[in-house]
Amino acid sequence: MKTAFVLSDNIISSLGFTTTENLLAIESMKTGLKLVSDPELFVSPFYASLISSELIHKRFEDIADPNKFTKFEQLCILSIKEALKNINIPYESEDTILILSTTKGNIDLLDKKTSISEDRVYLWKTAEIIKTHFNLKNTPLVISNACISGVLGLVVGFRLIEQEKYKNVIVVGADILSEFVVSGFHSFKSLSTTPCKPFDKDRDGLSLGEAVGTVILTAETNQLANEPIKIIGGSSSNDANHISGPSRTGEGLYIAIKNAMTQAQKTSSEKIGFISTHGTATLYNDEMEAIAFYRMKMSDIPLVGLKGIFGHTLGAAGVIESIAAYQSIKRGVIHGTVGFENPGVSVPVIVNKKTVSTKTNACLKVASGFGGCNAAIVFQRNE
Amino acid sequence: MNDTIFISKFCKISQNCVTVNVVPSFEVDKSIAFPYFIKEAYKYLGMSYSKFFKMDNLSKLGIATVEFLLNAENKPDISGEKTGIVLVNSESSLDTDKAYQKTISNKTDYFPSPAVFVYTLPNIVIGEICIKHKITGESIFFVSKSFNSTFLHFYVTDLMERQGLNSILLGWVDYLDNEFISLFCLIKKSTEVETDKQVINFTVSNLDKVFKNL
Repeated sequence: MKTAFVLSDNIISSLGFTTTENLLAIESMKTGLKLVSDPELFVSPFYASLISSELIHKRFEDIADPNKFTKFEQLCILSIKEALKNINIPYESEDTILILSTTKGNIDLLDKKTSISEDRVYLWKTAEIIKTHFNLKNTPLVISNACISGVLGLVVGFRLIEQEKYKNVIVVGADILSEFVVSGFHSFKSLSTTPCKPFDKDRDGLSLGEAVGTVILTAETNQLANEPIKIIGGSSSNDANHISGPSRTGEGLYIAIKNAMTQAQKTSSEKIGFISTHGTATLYNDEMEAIAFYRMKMSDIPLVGLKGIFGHTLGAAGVIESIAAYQSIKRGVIHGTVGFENPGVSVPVIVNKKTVSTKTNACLKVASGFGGCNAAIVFQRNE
Repeated sequence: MNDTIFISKFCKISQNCVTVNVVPSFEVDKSIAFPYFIKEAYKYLGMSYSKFFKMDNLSKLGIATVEFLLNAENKPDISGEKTGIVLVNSESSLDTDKAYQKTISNKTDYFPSPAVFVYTLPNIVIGEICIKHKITGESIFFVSKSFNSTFLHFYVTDLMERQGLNSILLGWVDYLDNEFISLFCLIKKSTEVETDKQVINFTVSNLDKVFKNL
């Protein structure tokens, strides 16, 4: 059995086009959320974290013709290209596979009249476009599993490497904002009237965002930096309770964490230094998460929530928040939680307010989503 | 030594015909549209599950397929965290996506509905199956042009051998513009399988054979 190491990564969000730009912004607790007034996205203003279309267009022009790729595809290609920049893997060979995690892909094509064919709304089709651009050998895997898609992509990649199916796995999590998504969350009355406040007593809903994240996992150790990050556990579970509301008992998330931790503890006795929460800032999600941590006897572990910075980036969330989490281990910090002031859940929680310097060696990342799905993954510094 | 893994039963619904292990078990005339077909299937199954009528077509199709499949099982209880679900399709939730898009396309007739929006995710059918059968194990939804037996064989085997699952519902379920097809199989470990001549070894080539008619 092989170990799944992180070889390189990239985050593109409103805060920047590289992992480093994003990490610096997170560490200084800069938010990407702004009041957006764009009738193309929604009839009334709402808080969201948007990537500048001009910047995407400008950067993509250096790579290929922007008229031949959708915004979603451009972002995925830009992110993968950046993650491949300073490494040398045989991504065109049968040793490498791409996993694309997304909830809605090119859903905006249902509405727009462009020269781009509407069949790119098929998620496997958009994955094929990305495959062809990079001349990849293997057919990509596409995971569309609501807001846990990104974490699941990393869990599947982890298993493929462990079982020696591939030497390298490129995991991309991406979603863009569209009227489709904004109106949907609005109809659910899920959108916050202010920038969202994860775990706070005054939280009243989520803020949306768009982003793409890429993580390149590898079984090969020759190109790894000192003390690389590895994945040591991952699992998912369903609440079997409600399709649009999280379980009151945190049952599914509890099972996912329990299984991921049991797996992690087979190879490691390292203490979890912090938990990167899903923390959407809806009343029910944050309450459910807190209960699951409490049941796991993890209430003394600091919690971090990044939705106050990135917004809820759906299929990208699990990937970009995982990158932020394991990178903060490498950089010796625990990130602050923008938007959090006072705890507002029914069990004790320690939400990390401000970014602090702390040495940690392992962290847990969790996610939950519509359909009652939950996922958990454990990262550790390899010493 | 690892337990042997078997395909216990498989059920296919297409062109208004339901077959279990290739044997027809329920059929209505091909000209009848899906809403009527699925209502007849519901009646035939003797279901009493009012949530069914709130579901989108993809979820109704998935729920009905599992119902026919489990009706043919000697040990139909698959509840709990030792059962997993792996579903695949080509069209994701596109049928409901299109229906939802219609509700927001016209600014003077703008009526986005949360009851429709929630079904614009393909994994909701997994959620519905989990709720109906109290399944809390691992689940995942893949979107793929066609059924990838090699990968899915790997993934399901890994779930059974390394992630502690005892049974898995593996299926393809697609619905778009009144065209639909579903094929689910129940995969079990040898310790869970009743002494039944119908079981098929869980191999890539057998998976190919079972799913070849999609």
